[in-house]
Amino acid sequence: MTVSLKTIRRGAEKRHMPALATFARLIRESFAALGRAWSQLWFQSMTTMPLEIARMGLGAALIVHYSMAIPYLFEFWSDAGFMPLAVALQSSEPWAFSLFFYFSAPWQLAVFHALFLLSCAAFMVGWRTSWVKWIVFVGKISYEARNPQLAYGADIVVCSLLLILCVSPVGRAMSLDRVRAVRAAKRENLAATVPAYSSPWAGAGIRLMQIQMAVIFFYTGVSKIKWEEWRDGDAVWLVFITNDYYNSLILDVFARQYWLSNVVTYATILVEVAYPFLIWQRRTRPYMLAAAVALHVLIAAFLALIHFSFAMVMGHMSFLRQEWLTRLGAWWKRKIGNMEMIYDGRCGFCVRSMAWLLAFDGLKQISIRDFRSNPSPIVSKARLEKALYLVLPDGRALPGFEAYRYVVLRVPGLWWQIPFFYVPVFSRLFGHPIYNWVAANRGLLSTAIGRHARAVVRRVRL
Amino acid sequence: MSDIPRTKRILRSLPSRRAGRLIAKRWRERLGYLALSLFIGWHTIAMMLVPVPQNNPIVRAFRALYQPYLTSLGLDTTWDFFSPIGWGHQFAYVIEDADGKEHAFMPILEVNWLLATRRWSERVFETVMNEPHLYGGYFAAAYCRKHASLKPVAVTLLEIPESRYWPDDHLSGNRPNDPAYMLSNLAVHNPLIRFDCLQK
Repeated sequence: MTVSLKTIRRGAEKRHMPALATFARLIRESFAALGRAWSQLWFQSMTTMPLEIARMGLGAALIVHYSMAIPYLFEFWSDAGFMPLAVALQSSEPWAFSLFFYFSAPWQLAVFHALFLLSCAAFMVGWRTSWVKWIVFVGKISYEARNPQLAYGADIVVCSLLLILCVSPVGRAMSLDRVRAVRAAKRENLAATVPAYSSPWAGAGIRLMQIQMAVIFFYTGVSKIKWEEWRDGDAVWLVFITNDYYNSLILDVFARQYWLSNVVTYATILVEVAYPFLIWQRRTRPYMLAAAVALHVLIAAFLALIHFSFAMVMGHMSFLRQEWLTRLGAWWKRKIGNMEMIYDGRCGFCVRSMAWLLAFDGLKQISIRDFRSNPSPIVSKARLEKALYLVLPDGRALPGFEAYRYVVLRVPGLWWQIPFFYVPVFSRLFGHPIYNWVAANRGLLSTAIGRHARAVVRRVRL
Repeated sequence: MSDIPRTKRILRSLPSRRAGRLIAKRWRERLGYLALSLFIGWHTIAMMLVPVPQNNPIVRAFRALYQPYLTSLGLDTTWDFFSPIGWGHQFAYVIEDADGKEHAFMPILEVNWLLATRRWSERVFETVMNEPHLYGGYFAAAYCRKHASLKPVAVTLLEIPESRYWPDDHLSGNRPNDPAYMLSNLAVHNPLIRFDCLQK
């Protein structure tokens, strides 16, 4: 019996095949498992709510911070100040970038500062967020690089968080961008709803911010342990005796009860070192978050590092759980109760106004009724011809201006209008006549708006 | 519909074209996922390794790779807040008037403790103390102008070292870092630099 070489080779291949196939499958499965773990870590579909809270907070902090810089604009960042461009370029790092390296004329600085403050405001309210966020970020790093001597911890915290917000899909909730999207849908049909945005991209942004905060706490905690003053429990006392943070009241208390200073010192280290490890666990997260926020509130109150503390707290917001926010929203909705707005569905102006109002009602607290097609059992048609009405859970019905005034305080999306509706005496003094005039002339306004809308459509067509 | 050329209409109706679009969408998603994954990986490494001391060649190599990214985006830091506490210094200046009288000022006392300007002022005065020859002239000129009513002849910039003291000292009334005490004891400190106001 003779066996050809080919047959032997084929037999050997057959014997090796299962082993090779198993090996290949193992590799494939390992990669697939790695991919799944990677996706689970980074790309869980989430809403952008924690990022939006950070966006609004950082935007507000930047407005306050850089508004205060207006009187010092030229002293800090222009050639006329203590850091001329030549000196700044000489002392800056090789890769430092600032728009003010290229635009150094005082008028350019003033124009940019105005644009930057407007962009911060737009960033805070979420208007055109997808590109405004980049102006804010570039502006921020430009100020830092033009005069690096002014930068301290808070500025780097803000830069780090801003970069993460820039690469995340912010502006999809709690923003004017969202209001505009909802309003557009409601203009077609007042009952229309726009589903809340959620995506794996948002999940990745939240995770990046969480890791950033954990890294900051880890390094700041570990670096403290290296130093004797922290290990001995004297650090907090030593901070308060420096002129920068001198506080005679606290020093009086600590001098009499020095153990308090020791406790605060060790508690600071404990919170900072524990945070990066315990913040991830379901059970310990609320406590760690509360401890970290409390630490920053104390730093803000006693060391006057308000900007820094606020920026850090905004970073911690990335650890807010979705269900906490949902529960908070549901609790608020329950507490306030249902509100029904009765409007005139035949009046175009009224429908447009309702679309605007409802677009701000993110928690969907207000239900609507068109009295033309669906008469109200509580408010008569004759009264509804004169004004819009709000029916409360207890059966009370508030007309016109009073209805808006009631809603503004109870719908979080409308809180920004509180200053207009709640100025003692003045709001009611002017509010009632303005509302009554608008209500009486709503037909006229509807025609005018309709004519304008038709003109716009015609212009677009042309 | 009739405006669209016939060939285009046929092409659009082809299932393969629809399938092609679907495939393109899937690839776009995959590329997006890959790009975001790469950025996340890169940025996470940057966040974690930036504060590590550069004591070994591995960290130094990492630094060389990441430095442009960290510097240009303002992310370069060690996150070592308040460690160490260190020995502080306070900035002050003395105006010498035409009669030879000296008037001492500690500019930080004029800045509100709660405002952002306080932190900027601290940083600015630290900068002047660190490099008085580079930045001192600007501030000396500003102080000469500010106190023009005193008819200043010269301004001397000072650096006052803060001292460490303990609860017992505090209880016995010793407050060496109290701004008021510091201001009343300026004579013991060495000047950083002196500028002539008349030449300014």
